[in-house]
Amino acid sequence: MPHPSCFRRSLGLCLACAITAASGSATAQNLSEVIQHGIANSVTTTQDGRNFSFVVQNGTENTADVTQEGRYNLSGLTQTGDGDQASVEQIGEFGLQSTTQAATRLSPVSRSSSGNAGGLSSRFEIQID
Amino acid sequence: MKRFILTLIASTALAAGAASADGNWSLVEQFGIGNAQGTMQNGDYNGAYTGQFGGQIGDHGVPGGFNGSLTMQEGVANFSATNQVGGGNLSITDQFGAFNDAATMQLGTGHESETIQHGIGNMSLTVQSN
Repeated sequence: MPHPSCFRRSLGLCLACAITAASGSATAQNLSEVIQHGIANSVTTTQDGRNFSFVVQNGTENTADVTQEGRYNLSGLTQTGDGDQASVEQIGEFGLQSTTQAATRLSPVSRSSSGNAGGLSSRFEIQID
Repeated sequence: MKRFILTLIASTALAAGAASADGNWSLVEQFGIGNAQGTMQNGDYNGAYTGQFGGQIGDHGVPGGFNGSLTMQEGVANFSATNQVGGGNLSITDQFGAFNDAATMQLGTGHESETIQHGIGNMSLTVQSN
């Protein structure tokens, strides 16, 4: 199991390269990183513009809510634990979002994109027996 | 950036000589460019507010900032709020314990916010707007 910071860094680099290739822009305007370890923690991130958001939650019953409005936004969200819930909403064009959940019982992820032309959305599920 | 963070950590370590205490408040407001602040609170029911408001670079209306804030809290039911206005600001909030709240608002461009929380029932709110 890689250290969370290593995973976050590699994930960030991967996604940053992806959005750079997609948008032609090398820099984002704002960057938000939230890392939580424990039980019943919650994250709310709201961004307006061309932004990066990374959320890592390790534990159970955690919730994450990410809202991004504008063009060329990027969201990376990783949750490890049971009963975690995630909601990602991107409003605008060329948004990228990647959500990864690893748990013995997976929760549905709410994702929505409005006017997300040219965007890319991916979801990875890891079922732990 | 690393040098900047190291400076912040050093200043926080200097302030960390105080013993654990409950119910304390810290209020920091800084105006201008290139300010740094570090706050460390160890105990319960502590509150920390940081406001950093950047100036303007030159006569071209370029928003300045480049302020840095580091807040560390350890305990139960602590609260941290950071408000940064301008450009290129950095906010780091670390909380260890239970039922802690961290709120970060950054207005402008080129900001970076990092929140790390360990424990139970912690809450993080980050708002970034250009």
